[in-house]
This record gives sequence, C-alpha cells and structure tokens, in this order.
Amino acid sequence: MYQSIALRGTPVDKAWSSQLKKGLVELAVLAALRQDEAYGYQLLQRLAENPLLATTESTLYPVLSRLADERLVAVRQAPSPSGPPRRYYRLTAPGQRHLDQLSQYWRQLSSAVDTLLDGTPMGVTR
Amino acid sequence: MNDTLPAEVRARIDMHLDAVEDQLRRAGETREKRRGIVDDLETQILDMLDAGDRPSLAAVDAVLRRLDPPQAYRGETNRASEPSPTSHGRRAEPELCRQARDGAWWLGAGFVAQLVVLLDLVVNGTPGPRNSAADLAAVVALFPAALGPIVGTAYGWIATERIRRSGGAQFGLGLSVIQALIYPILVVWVGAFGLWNAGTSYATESGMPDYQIHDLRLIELFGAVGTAIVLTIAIVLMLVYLTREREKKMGMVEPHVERLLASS
Repeated sequence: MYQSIALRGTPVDKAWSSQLKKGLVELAVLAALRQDEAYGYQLLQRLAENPLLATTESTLYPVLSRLADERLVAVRQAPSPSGPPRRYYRLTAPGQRHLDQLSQYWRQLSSAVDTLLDGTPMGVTR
Repeated sequence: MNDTLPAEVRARIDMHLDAVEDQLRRAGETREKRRGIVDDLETQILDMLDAGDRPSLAAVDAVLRRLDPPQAYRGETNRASEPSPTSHGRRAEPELCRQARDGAWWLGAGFVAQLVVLLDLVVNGTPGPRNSAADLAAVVALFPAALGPIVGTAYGWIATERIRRSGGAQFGLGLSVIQALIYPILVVWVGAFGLWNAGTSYATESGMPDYQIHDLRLIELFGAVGTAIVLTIAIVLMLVYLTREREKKMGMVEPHVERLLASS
C-alpha cells in the first residue's frame, strides 16, 4: 500500500521521506547544537519546532550517544529540578569542523538535486 | 532520582527504562552508552510528566504511550551506528567472535589428543611388547584430550551468546553452535549405545542361541540409533524453546504486549 504524508499540500512517500530524514539527523542535531548547548529532550523540542525536522527519542538519543563517543559533542551533567541530573550536549571544535563539512556537502548535494529538478543542464551555474 | 515520585509511578517508569536498556544491550551497546541513552530518556519522561512532585499513574501511562516502544531502540541504534559518508567514526567490519575461534582450537586440539590416546590403546592393546613411545604420547595427550572438549564446549556456549548479543558486529554463530553441541550430543549417543549394549550383553550371557544373538545385535543397533536421534532432537528443541523464553523475558516482547503491560 502506498503510504503518504502531506507536505505543504503535496503527498510524499512516507518511507522515502523517513529514510531521507534519518540520514539527516546527524546534521540536524549538530546544527541545532550550534546555537547553544541543550539536553536531550530540549534538543528534541528544538528540532520539533520545524515539523519537517521533528524526530523521536529512539532516533535522537543513540545519535547523541554516538556523537559523544566520537568527541563531536561534549557532555556535562547539571542538576535538574524534576529528577536525575540532565546531560547537556555541547558542540566541540571537531564537532564544529564536522558540521562545516556536512553542511558543505549538504549544500552541494541539495544544489545538484535542485539543478536536476529544475532541468538546468549540469555544470551550468544559475 | 526523584525520591518524591510515588512507588508505583517509579516502578512503571523503571519498567520502561529497563525494557529500553534490554533492547540496547541486545543491540550490543556498551554499558556506558546504554546508561547515557537511558538517562536522557528518564529526564525526558520526568520533564514530560510536568505534574509537580506527585504525578499520577495515569499521567505516567499517558506519557509512556507517547514514547517510542523499547523495540525501536534496537533498530534505531543499529541504524544510528552506521557512519555517514563524512563521519569521523567508522563502523568496524563484522569479525569472527574470539571465543568461537578459541573454542575451535580447543576442540581441534582435544580431538587430536584423543586420537593419540586411541592410537595407544590400539597399538598397546594387543598382546606383545608395549610401544613405549605410544605410551608416552598418550600420557602427554591425556590432559588436552580431557580438557579440550570441556573448554571447547564452554567457549561454544559463550560465543553463541556473545554473537547473538553483538547485533551483527560478530559472526561465527554456526561454528559456535556446533562447538556448544557436538560433545553433549556425542555423550548422548555414546550413552545410548552403551545402555543398549549393556542390555543385549546381559541377554547373550544368559545362553541365547547364535541366530537370536544376531537378531538382538540388529535390535541393539536400531534401538541405540533411534534413542540417540530422539534424544538429540529433544535437546535441540528444548534449547530452542529455552532461548525463545529467555528472549521474551529480556524484553523482546511485541509492541502490543508492551503497551498492554504499560496500561495494565
């Protein structure tokens, strides 16, 4: 069965958009952390401000954990009024460099796809 | 930990967090990573509760229903571990489980040692002068002959468990299962033949005619093989059943069962 979701009035294949979003989670997370440090749930809410970037905790937290493992984000714990200490994630210098690389790649990719979609011959600058 | 939470609320939250941690463990995540993810999730649950210090059980259930089921962490963790094209992290190629490899060596060495002991029994088992070289080799081989199967079988069980928990990071499951089962099954076969042989020997010693002894030996052969096959199948089926039961207990329950547990 063809599953679709409405994207600004246009139905989009859900599986396709879901896969695309999964690939972009890392970029979105790093970009969201560029503004300011955040703890997991806060980051989830920050991403959800744009419904197209909204993700779920089972996707976000393992990604955060991996980024921390790779030293692309740093973690600090701070007391929380509601329970256990919150783990605040902050972009590190290698994380910033990685984000720059990812953004550059994304812009090139996005531009290439735009070019294809617009029907402009490849290599022609608009 | 929020000490002001009612016990039943705390228990409900812990049940969900434990189920998530089980899934992460099954996905092969390290203890440190599991702890970090579960801590983030706990913070989120408590933030979402947002009902002062005494949230109700119904409020917790409502929050838990809005969250991803624990099973989602198994799949998402595996996918999330895959590096992006420009990622610094590189997902290691699946590797042969170390215990499966070591187990194979132990079983192999044990088998060779047993052959040496057997050879000594054949060479020196007949009347005549003893071959002292074969005796010496047998004495040296006795220890690995006895230890090889035990250590190899133990490694087989450990390797099977580790490979299943590695989430695809390790391979060699077929090898480890064979290591784990080959000697226990061999013991069952030897036992079956021994028992049938003891039974028929007792009958033949009581003065049975030769033609009946021939029939009895045929019965012994088929009886022993049949018994051994039935016992082997029973062992394998029992292991499959126990493994599935344990998986259920470890949190590999279906999402609808999980929701049922959460709402009960």
